[in-house]
Amino acid sequence: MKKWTLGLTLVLAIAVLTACGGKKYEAVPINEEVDVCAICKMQVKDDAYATQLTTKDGKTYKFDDIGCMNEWKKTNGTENIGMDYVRDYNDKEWVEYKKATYVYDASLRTPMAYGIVSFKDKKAAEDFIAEQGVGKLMKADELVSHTWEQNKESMNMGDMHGDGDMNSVMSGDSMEMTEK
Amino acid sequence: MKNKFMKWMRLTIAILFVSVASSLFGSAQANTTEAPAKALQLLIDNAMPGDTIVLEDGKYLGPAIINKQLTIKGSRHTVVTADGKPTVIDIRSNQVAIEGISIVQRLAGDSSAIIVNSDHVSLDNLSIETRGFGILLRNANEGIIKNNRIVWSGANNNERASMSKKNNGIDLYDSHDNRIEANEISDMRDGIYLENSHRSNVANNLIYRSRYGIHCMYTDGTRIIGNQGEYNVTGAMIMGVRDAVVSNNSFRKQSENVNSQGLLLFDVQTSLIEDNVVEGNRVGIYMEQSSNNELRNNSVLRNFMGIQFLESSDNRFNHNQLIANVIEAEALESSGNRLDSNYWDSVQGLDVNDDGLSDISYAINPFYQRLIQKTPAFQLFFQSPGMIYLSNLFMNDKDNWATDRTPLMSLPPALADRTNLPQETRSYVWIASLILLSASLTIIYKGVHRK
Repeated sequence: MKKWTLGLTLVLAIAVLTACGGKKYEAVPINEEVDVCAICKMQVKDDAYATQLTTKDGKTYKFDDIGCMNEWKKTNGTENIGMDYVRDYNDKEWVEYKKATYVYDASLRTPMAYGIVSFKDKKAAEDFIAEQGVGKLMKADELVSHTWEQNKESMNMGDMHGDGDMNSVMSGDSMEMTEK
Repeated sequence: MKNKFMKWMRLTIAILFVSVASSLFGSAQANTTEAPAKALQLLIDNAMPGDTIVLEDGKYLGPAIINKQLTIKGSRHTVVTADGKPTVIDIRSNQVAIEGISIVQRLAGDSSAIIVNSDHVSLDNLSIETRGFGILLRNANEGIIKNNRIVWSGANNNERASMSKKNNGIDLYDSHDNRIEANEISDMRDGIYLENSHRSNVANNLIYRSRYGIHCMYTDGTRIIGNQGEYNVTGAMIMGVRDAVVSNNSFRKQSENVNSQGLLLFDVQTSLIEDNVVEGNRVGIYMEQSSNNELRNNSVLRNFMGIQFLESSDNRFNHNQLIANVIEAEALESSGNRLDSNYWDSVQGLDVNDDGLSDISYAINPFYQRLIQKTPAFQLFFQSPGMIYLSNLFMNDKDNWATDRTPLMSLPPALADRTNLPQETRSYVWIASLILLSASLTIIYKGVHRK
């Protein structure tokens, strides 16, 4: 009887230990009240531009723009990152950085003006490009060689008087999807 | 007999009352339904360029597009709405002026009360109530926006909404050389938001209960002068800016949010920050990745953290007053900053040659800051004897600490009033303590007396 109990304890102990060993990462929700971007210190809004990463020792950093996450990786390296997430532009679902499809154009307005939006599938990204009429489709590995230039200059120097061009300019920090 | 008479009297009075009441009620009803809203667009279409349209009190219906040079005037009781359309007034012609009227935008989201797409526009003394943006400027230059009142409309009925459900009061994109003066903005997301818009003059505005009072993104030559911010998450958020002037502003009581600060400078270069008062904020002045700026004569009072430098180098910081901050200053990874002639209330100086400057420099030990940055829970040990002992052990890197070489021995008398508590607060304290004193005396006296 005693032997049996010992055996059971051993099995249980092994089960517990192995369960601990396999680390599972999960995206955490954005809390607008307290979350600020780890790089630029602006409030992280619960929108499609938010990104986050969790380090191997379990610390989570949130960013208001994928460009800020890139800055973090430049400073801190990528070896210690357990998992990093971006969001689908359409339904804000968290998508693994490696698996997402990206669209870049300097004229896209994002919180820190890096001009990159992310999608969970290629089809949605292509639709977005067709809809906007601009944009370069990229995979995660192509982002490595991306210039990460911020659009700090006025881009529509051309005349936009009179055409009320409000809707063709993309949502940025100052704009968001209409909700009533 | 008498009884009958009384009954009759009562009946008459009742009838009289009912008739009077109904007639009053009737007329009141007639008043509210009387004038149907007039279409503003019709008036605009009928006017000639250069005309002035004077609107009467009453309701006007937008949306209206102004595509010729016009002046529109009215009073606070002239109310323009747009019935669920995204823009109430859309200005597309140069030199349009709107004065004095009220505009209400009830649609939330990307909607706005006014959008300006043209140059030399003047918006003066308007009252704007909105669920979206207040005033949008897109590719609009050299306009004047002054004396306007902009408020998020939910604020009137004590609604609460998260900051991201709201939008900005005055929002500039790709719009240069505008003057934004003496506006009062409250309960919005960002009070005044400037992006890619250069040489704006933002002066004497009052912004409260918003996210960021003034928010600059990638602007050059912005002048932020004489503004006041209270109870915002951050008074002024200056990001990606060069050659700005931030002076004579006061940012008080930005402390409600865990990330609050009076003035935040991120990636700010070659700018001048002077004569500001930052009081009672979580962090007074926060500076990151900013260099070659001059900060002088600012009053940094009663903040949790007075000044915080991170990765900021070659800034000049002089003649500032740091008084009654819980932590005065912190500088991490910041070198080449020149601190001199500031007044620190915790300095123990020594002035041998009597020039008003201490001959002993004042160095700020970053040990505690480094510790709590890694593990915020260690804030529990703030000012504990062990922490002070430990801080004194880690002195080896002292040359790289933020150091004021010549701290001021005493507060310049001219600044004494700026750094004092407002007088009214003091009188409240006096009255409260007198009441307490008399109450306790009464209790003691009565208690003793009864025995």
